Amino acid sequence: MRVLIVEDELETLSEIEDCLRCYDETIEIELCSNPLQAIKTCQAHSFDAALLDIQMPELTGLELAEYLSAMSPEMNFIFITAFNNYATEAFDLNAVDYILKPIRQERFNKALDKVRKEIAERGKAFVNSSSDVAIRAFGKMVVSSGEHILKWKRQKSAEIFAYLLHQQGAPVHKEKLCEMMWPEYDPPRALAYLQTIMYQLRKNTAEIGDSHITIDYADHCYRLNLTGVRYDVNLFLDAFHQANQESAPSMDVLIKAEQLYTGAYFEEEGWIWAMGRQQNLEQKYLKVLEMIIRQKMSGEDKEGALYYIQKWAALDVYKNQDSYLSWVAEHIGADVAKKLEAIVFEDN
Amino acid sequence: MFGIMLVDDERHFIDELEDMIKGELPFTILGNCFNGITALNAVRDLNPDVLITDVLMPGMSGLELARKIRAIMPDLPIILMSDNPSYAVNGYELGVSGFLLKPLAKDKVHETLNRLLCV
Repeated sequence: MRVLIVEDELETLSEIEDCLRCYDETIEIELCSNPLQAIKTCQAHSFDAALLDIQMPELTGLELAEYLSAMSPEMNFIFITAFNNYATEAFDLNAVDYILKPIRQERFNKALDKVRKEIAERGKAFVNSSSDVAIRAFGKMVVSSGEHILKWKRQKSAEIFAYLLHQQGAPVHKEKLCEMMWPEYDPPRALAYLQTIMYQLRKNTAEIGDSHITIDYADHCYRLNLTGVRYDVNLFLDAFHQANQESAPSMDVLIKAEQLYTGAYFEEEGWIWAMGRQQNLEQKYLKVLEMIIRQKMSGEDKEGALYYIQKWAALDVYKNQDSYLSWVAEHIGADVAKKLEAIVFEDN
Repeated sequence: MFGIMLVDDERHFIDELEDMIKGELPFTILGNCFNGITALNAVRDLNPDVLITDVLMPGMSGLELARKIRAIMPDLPIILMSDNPSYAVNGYELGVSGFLLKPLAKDKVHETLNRLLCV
């Protein structure tokens, strides 16, 4: 943890430093006796927290906090002051704590614990721009930035995000969203819910940082924008279209497409509006598998082909064992069909 | 919609708050109490998402109420209200989530409640 202390009285500055070392001697500490100097320091370095005096000649601690949080929104503030009348403003600035002088170590520790808790809650939300921002829609929907996975506050938040994602950048009228999500509620109530959720969604996606995922609102319509995001469905579709255009599709492209399909579109969610595309994408995946199987068979790689045939069989599209086996016998070979009957349908 | 509970011994402050919140923010008023003891009994049944309480009340003060509620429902955000700004310091000690200075200003009420919505 990196902490900045800003206090114009040198004796107090030293005292606060001692308190901090007493709390945790591993904390990196930067001392400033001048708020303007503090601003310069914050431009060059980042801090998890700032312990600020309030009454200082050049700039009050409150003004300094406002300035610093504009530069670094993730910074946590603790005010340390002899005056009890600024606490209301501290609340407005969302300060983590407000301690009165003379400082008691126990009270000080409590305040630093609060900061620790804030930092832990933010966790890996603050990612540097080199992190991978990815959205998975095949299988269970996952929005992630590096190791950090976005958690949805409500199931409806996830569904609304998914629905906006489903639009592929097209805007959705807010009333349409209300109708889709809360068909049983009257419009004003549904709209109020929508506003609450959109507010939360925006905060949630802002965690990803660098405006990778943003939600626009214009002319009563919401729209999801993705910038520099790896979205598995779009990557799959790109690979699929590329393979389709070539008379002899490259195995690399086919494999890439196959690997991206890690499950049905929004598989576990059961969202009715997603069913059409789910089927469509599954058809495309089956086509990819077929192309791989054919190529492997014509390349005499029967083992390889069998691996993909098994994947094809795993999709319960072909509930009718016979029609499936006859397809394989016809397109791949009677011997493969025989092998399959033994291996794949053993457990049926 | 979020549920909110209001506690103040002076009825007109409750009315004022209701007017500022109803229809403008996604909060439903679950119930109002005029003293700390009824509030403490009601909070578990009403199970609000936010509680706003005055500080100076006869019997149990808002600070005492906040302390008792944080012991049983530590995740419930509490907002204190008072015309005396120094109670905000006590607010910080108790770990409340906001402080509203009386006379109430609509923009401050909205700002404080909106801040809680992103938690």
